[in-house]
Amino acid sequence: MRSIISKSVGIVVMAVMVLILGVALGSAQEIKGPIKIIVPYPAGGGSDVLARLIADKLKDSLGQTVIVENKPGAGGRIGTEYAKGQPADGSSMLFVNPALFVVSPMVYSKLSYDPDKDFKPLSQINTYEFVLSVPASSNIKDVKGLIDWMKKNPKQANYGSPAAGSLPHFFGLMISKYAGVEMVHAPYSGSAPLVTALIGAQIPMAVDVFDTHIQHHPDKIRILATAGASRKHPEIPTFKELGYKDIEGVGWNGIVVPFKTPKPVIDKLNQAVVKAIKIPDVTQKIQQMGSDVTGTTAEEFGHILKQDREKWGPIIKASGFKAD
Amino acid sequence: MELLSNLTLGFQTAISPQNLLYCFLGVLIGTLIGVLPGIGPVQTIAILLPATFALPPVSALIMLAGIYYGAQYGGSTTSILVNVPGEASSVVTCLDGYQMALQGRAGAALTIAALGSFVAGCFATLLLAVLAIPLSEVAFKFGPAEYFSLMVFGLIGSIVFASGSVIKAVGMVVLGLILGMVGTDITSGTHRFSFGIPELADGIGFVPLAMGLFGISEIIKSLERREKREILKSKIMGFWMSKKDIRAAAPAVARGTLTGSLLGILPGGGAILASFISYILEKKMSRDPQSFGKGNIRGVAAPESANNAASQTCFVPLLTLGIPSNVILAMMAGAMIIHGIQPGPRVISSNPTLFWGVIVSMWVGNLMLVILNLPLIGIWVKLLSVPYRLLYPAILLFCCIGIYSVNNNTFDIGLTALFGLLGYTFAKLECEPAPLILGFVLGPMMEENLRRGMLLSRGDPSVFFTRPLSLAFLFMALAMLIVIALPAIRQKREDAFHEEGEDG
Repeated sequence: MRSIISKSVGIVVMAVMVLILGVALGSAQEIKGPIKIIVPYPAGGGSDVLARLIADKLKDSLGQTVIVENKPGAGGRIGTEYAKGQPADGSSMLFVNPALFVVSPMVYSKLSYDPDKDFKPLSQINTYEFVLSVPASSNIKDVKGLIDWMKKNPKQANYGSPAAGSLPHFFGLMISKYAGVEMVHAPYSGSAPLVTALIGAQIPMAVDVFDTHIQHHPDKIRILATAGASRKHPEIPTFKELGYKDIEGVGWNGIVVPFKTPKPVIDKLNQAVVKAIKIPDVTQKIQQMGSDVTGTTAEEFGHILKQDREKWGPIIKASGFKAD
Repeated sequence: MELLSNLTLGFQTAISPQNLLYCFLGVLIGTLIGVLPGIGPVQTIAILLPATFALPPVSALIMLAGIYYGAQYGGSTTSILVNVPGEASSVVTCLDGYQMALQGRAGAALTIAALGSFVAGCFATLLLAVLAIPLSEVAFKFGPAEYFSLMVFGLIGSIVFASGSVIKAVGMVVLGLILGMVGTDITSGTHRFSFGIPELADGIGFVPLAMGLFGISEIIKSLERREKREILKSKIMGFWMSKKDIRAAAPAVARGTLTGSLLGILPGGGAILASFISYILEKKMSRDPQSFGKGNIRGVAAPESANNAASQTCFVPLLTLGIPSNVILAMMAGAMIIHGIQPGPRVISSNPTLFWGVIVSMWVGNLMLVILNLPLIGIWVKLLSVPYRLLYPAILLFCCIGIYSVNNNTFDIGLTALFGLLGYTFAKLECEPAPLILGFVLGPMMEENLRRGMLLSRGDPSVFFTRPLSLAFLFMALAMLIVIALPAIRQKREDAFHEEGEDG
């Protein structure tokens, strides 16, 4: 009798527990809106345009209002710090890039967030390759010619980048190391003034992202090589095929979520995000911005982060660059 | 002939009913946000950008461009009426515009601002149509040495902003330079004077600084002079300018237009730099520099024409080379990319309707602006009869909204309040904030280019003297220094003479 009672009580308890668990799981997957994508940069910039494209499509697939919230300042660090304190229930996502998640942790002695302890990767959205270019008026025709020229004119071996502490800055140092020439870095305040200076031959060469240079190639700027795994442009070789095996430089945009966001929620959001960027219309627009759509899983994105740190870490450390 | 057929194509595009409508919408929104202090074209275009994705690219660009140059039109209104710059590039307009309003000539000031902008807009449009491609080459001639020397010229020129003591003006320039140091150093990438406050890592914002020093401090000042208000009200005269005004303003408009058109092409400074430099030139060329800052109509006409011309010629590098010269144009480049048009040298040949349509729409838009704005002047001037107790809290509210919307950050509002108090202190000490603003704008650009020049030459300073354009700017700066020094010497002798006379 007693055993029957205890058994039935046990069954009821179990049933209730299963029910609670079920409800808990169900509610965890049901993401409460409105969902916000935090962009730590001003409205209208590259990341913002990308985030708005995705937000627009997420609305349909998640059935929730999805808004883009711009929290610009301090190169994205203000928005990132803000995002780490947001609810970890799938209602907040953060747009990030290598500057925030790879470079900053290495160059700031005090950083207000920890990429690994405050966030979890959700998905890498797209990648963009770096390029090495010279003015179209230059006599230098290829990478080898450039290295020879630098060896003969070491005092003029200056390269421009869009910003100090940016990945193109360190990519330049990577080239410098392989070329065996000490190249002096001249940072500009963004791609636009850099491109202007390069076209006007104010600097002999520049390292930047593919997109900003290809529109001037070959009339005003000559891209000597792209830094991806395969050719980005049918007529421009990659560093790899030229024999510089280890020279590879790729930037990216990705989405992360606050650390405590549950796994099922991450999976659900990942599916929705990947689905959104694979819509042909969206893919085409991202490609028009000169980048390639990736749309990785959360695990793959985590792996990319790790790889990037291993790859850039030694170069950044060797450069002695410190931001504070 | 080719130009004619191109312009015809442009007109066909620009005056289609749909594009006319979007052009009108653009300039209307632009005027409104220009009038509202703090809320600028950057935020507005950013917000409206997604909405334009659904439009055809030509209409989208026509509207966005309309917002941009429309804001330069509207920005002068609050500068003149209440000394609150509606737009960053209207800061200079405060100097003489507000003084004119105090003298009851607000109508004339607003009229010349609108007409000057119109003339400048028309000229710049024509320039864009005829010379866009050769003009785009100008920017390439500017290396770090040229920029540095141009900034030196600008800084020395900034002394003329002082209508009082030269020493105080120098002090204010230096203070501006110091404030400009705050933030991330472009050359090394490290933080300077940010005291661990992340909000200061990008430096002090131009909007909080200008808004605080001019707008907020003016509101604080108004608390102590309730009665003067009546004088202002009773003295509001006709809205039209007198013949004497027209004679004085017309050449100033022409000079402002030229200065603005040229400086607009350079990346970075654009409209702000254009308005400052044109004011400097105007004052330097005047036979009566003492009257500047005291309600000289030329001090309104020149910078207002310059900022409008610059806001149009800055499209040259974008449309011909795909290089955006400021944040707003970068957003427009983004809008073009979204529509599948890669901004760059190929736009003219691959999308002639877009290129010529946008250019002609600027002329159409300028016409609309002048038609829209002239009747509004009457209404704006009437705004002055709204009691301060209602007007100023409203302005404060709009300032706060505008400043918050720049970075979505409350820190900037606190910063504005701080600069407001500082501005009030300056007013009490009779120190003028305009040289400070110019030092703040030019200082970081000067430092950046000096250090870049030195980096590229590996520490050899001769680059600044061996490049002809750079040398020319340095010579002009030297000449200006002499011109500034001469009257000061003369003044001293005169003072001495006066004192002797009084004693004797």
